[in-house]
Amino acid sequence: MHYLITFFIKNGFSSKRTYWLAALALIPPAVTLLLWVLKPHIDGGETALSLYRFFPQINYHLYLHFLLPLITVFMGTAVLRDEVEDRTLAYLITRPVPRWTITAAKMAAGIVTAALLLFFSLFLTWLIILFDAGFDQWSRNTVQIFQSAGVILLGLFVYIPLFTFFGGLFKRPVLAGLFFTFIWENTVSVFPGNVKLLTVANYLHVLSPPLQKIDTGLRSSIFNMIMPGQSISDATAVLVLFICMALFSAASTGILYIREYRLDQD
Amino acid sequence: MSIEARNLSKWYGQVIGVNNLNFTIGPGVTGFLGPNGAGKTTMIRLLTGQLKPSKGDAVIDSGPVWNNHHINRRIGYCPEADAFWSYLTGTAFVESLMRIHGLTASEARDRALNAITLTGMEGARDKRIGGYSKGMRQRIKLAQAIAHDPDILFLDEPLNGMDPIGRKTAIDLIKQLGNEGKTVVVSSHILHEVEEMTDTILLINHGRLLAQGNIYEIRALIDKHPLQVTISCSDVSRLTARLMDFDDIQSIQFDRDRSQLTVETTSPEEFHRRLPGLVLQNNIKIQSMWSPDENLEAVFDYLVR
Repeated sequence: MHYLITFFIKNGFSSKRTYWLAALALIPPAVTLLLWVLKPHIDGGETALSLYRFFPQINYHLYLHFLLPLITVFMGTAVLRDEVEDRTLAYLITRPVPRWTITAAKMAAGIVTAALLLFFSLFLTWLIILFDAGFDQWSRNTVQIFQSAGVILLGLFVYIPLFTFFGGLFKRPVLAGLFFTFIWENTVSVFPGNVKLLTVANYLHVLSPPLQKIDTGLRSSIFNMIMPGQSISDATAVLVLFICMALFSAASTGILYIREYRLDQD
Repeated sequence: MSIEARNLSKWYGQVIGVNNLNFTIGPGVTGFLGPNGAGKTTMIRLLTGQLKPSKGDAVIDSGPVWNNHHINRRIGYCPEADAFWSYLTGTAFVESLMRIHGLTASEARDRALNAITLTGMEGARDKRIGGYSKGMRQRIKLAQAIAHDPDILFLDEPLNGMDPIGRKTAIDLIKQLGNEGKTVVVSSHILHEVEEMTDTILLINHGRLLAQGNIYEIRALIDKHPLQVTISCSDVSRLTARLMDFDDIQSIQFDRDRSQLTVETTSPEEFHRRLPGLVLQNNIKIQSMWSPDENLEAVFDYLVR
């Protein structure tokens, strides 16, 4: 299992997909940098925006609702499909390893790779925020960053198995994954009532650094409209995420026992 | 070690992959012969546990193969598909699969290098597989199949695309493994390839087993089919006229310049017995005579017709 994970991590870093996703992971630090450059001009320079105060928004929009789902959709759906489409699965399933370990090892490799990309991105964002706030403020900023990193890690543990399952289930798993994350989760997040309990993002929001109400201007209207209400406890959110992780992992590791892949023609 | 198919069937929806196969394969080299689409790959994938039988069982040493990863410790598999993690070098490819097989790093390295040497790939072992020729890729696939010294080998079209030297190396290696008592199953649609490796064959077409056994035993099975004999002689027209007097002659065909004829007879022994007298009586000189039926290709043609 340990060797399989290492092997798949190496495979991951030989893939062009990883490099494209690494480039995308630079978007949040780039946006943060842009905000830092532009902030004297926001609000007419009178109430210059603190990046520290703005971080929950960056985390919410750029990490939880953009980068995390995007990276996990592409990496998760590729867990089985890469080996099937490259027809290398035959080398793996004819070795004396249980089939579930192949999927589990590849998911673990996907989580490690995605975490490296996201944490590197988060680290760059943190550096820019520190630069803005002053390095003497590092402890206050660091708490938020670690909280965000923890939530991202939890998200990886749920989304990667979920999209691995999509990869085994759907003919066009990337489309299905993008629909789930960008249409379903984003739409349902702003619905009133309990519908949002059917999204993974809802539980990640609960554990994330809280979005702060912004009281003035157009930004206030937009942010306050989409800001999720915290209706469940942290413990419940963690429990639900762990249950999702267990269910999705079981479903995805079971695919190779149920579904047969015709890797080549007779 | 023995491989067994017991009423083995596999269908994909309404398409039959293989249909009610029953056979046992023992040590030595056995050839799976059949045209493209005959069901050879499906059969190998059933026997290596990659596919679940729709009906019946694929069995190795009395144990079912499906969902039994332990049996894979004793199996080596060379897939037909030209598939690799192509960024790896030849050595890294074989070594990685040995590590996945459960060998330690040093064991995996030693076994990989040994297998690479046996397949004649030592000169290219540190190049990336992406830069290999088709023949080199075939050989490195063969190397990963034999590196862990398995008791049973399944080689799906292993000689495809190999150059003559590579073919000879591979054929000698396969024969050697068979002589060592390993159970080696080789699939091919090119009959003379298999003929060079073994006399023991299974003929497959449309997912059905047409015949199993020694090539000569199989030939005996098809005695009811006419034997073809091609004769090149000094007077084709006269010989044709004489041969047409006999009831066992089913057809006679000429080549374009009428320098030779091909006869189909339902009584080969009788034909060979009377031919010398016939040509002497008619003063016909035979320049050459051969029967394509002595070639495995012809046997195969008869059986799949």
